[in-house]
Order: sequence, then C-alpha cells, then structure tokens
Amino acid sequence: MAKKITYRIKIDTDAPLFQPNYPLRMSAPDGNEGVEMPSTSVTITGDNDQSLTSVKCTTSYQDLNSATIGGTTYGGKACWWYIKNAEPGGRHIPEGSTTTYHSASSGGSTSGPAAEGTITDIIIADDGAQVIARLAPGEWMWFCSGDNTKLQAKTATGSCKVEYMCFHMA
Amino acid sequence: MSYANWNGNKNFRATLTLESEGEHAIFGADTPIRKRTIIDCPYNGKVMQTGSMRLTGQGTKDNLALAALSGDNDRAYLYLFNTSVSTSNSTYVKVGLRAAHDTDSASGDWFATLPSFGQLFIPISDMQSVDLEVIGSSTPIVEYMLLQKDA
Repeated sequence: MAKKITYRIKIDTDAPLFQPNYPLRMSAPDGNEGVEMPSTSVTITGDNDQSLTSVKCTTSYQDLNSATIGGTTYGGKACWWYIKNAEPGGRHIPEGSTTTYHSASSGGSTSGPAAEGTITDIIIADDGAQVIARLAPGEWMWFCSGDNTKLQAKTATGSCKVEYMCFHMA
Repeated sequence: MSYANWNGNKNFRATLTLESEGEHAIFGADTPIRKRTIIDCPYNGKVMQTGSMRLTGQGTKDNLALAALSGDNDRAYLYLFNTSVSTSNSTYVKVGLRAAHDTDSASGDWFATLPSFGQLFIPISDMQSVDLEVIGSSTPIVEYMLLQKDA
C-alpha cells in the first residue's frame, strides 16, 4: 500500500491584532483575512522515514537524517522535511528579567515565561554546510529537499531542541 | 480598507497541517500522524513580493527577488506553490539559492525541489535571492511569497 502524507499550508492574519498587514490583502476583498492554500497529498516512495524526532542542538552541525538520502525522484536525493525550532514562539522574557506593561493596577512589572534551553535560532544547512534556513523560536519549515544527501542543524548560540520528521523519496 | 501601517511592522500567520492515517499511513494505520503548528511571522524588509510567475523553461533560472535580500543574515519567508498538475515525477521545479542577487547561482547549486502541485514554506537565510528552474518540457506557473524579515 502506498504511503501518503497530506499537508496544508494556511497563511492568514489574526485580524484584531495584525490587520491590515496581510501581504496578499490588497487583492482580497474587505473582510477576507487570508488564503488557505490547497491541501496536497504526497506519495512517499522511499524506504527510510523518521517520525517526529527531537534532538538537542549545539553550535556544531549535526546530521538530522539517520539514513543517507538517495533515489532519483525529482532529480535525485529528494526528501520531504518538517523541521521546527522547538523553543516557544513569540516574545520571550528571560527568567529573572522584567518588562513593563501598561497596567496601573499591577504595578506594571512582571517576568517570564522562561523557555527550556537557550532562546536562539536554529540554522539549517545542506550537505555542503551551505545555510538555507534560519528558524527563530517557534518557526517551522516544510519542503522537499533535493540534490543533498543530508540536512544538518545547529544553533546560532547555546543549545536548544529542534524537532523534525523526514520522508525519503525513492 | 486602510493602509495606515503599511510601512510599519507587519505579521502574517502561517499554519501547517500534516496528516497521514488510515490504510496509507506512513507508519501504519495504528500509528497515524496528525500534526498542526502555527507561527506568527514578522516581516518589515524592503522586499515584499507576492504574485505568480510563469517559468521560462528548462535551462533557464528565473530570479525571484526583484531586489537583493538584506538585513540580518538576509532572512526572509519564502512560500512557493507549483501550480502544475502534471503527474510525472520527472517534471519538477528546482529551487536554488543566489548568494548574490545579480549573480546566477552556481550550476547544480539547488537545495529544494517543487513537484507538481507541491508547496513549500521556509524561513530562508543567507541568500540574496532564489532561483527557480523547471525540469521538463512544461512552463508552469509558480505562485510565491517572498517577505524579507529585516529592513
């Protein structure tokens, strides 16, 4: 039985917070807050797949895929990837530091939350250590790599976790 | 409609949903994959492009960015959608990086592939532009977003 994975990418805005800055909004009617791209189903043809994996990265590159990417589909060495910087997204306040909110009742100062590990970017590179992506905390990427036997990851500073899945093409 | 903050900080929200279940589940029917993740994506750089482009054809690299990506590590959000509905696995779009905006990427220097009706979303880095080259006899239309993160 063929192995398949279905993915959907949706790009929109949280209207109360971000309007009217949705990039495609100029061509959209009033009240349209985004575009949901079509759902796509991919048939995975390779023998090597990794389900959700979490690894701790440092400032040195480490390989993400356990088996070498090969095959001839889509020009060769093709592999679908989901990769995410596992640190919490959004604004961060390191533990112990404070920030001031505009609230007279609370006194205007609080701290946290503190993320586990270092709040840092994850750098993704190809098999030649050519950087192709930089994931800020919480950011993810979904794509089919090509012409590379592996992907590597490291942090910009300190250590933090990256989670990923990969599905090889034959 | 107002564009009061058109030159200010901007955000969009990107959601990825992955599903593999049932008889076609990658890891078997008893191990379904259901994953949904959301990020808010700030961008305020000089390059803010959305649109579509019909690729020239095999042998020609079409440059995506109208101006060089710049700022901290040349970071940008890249979304691509190959609108072709060909069912051939030998028809696809190569995605390569341009280290310098006005310099063609080196031969074979591509890092991603975009099959027919395929999409990708990557917070790219360390490249000033993106090259697209179709492999095959077709000239598909690619829809895209390229949004630089820093001014």
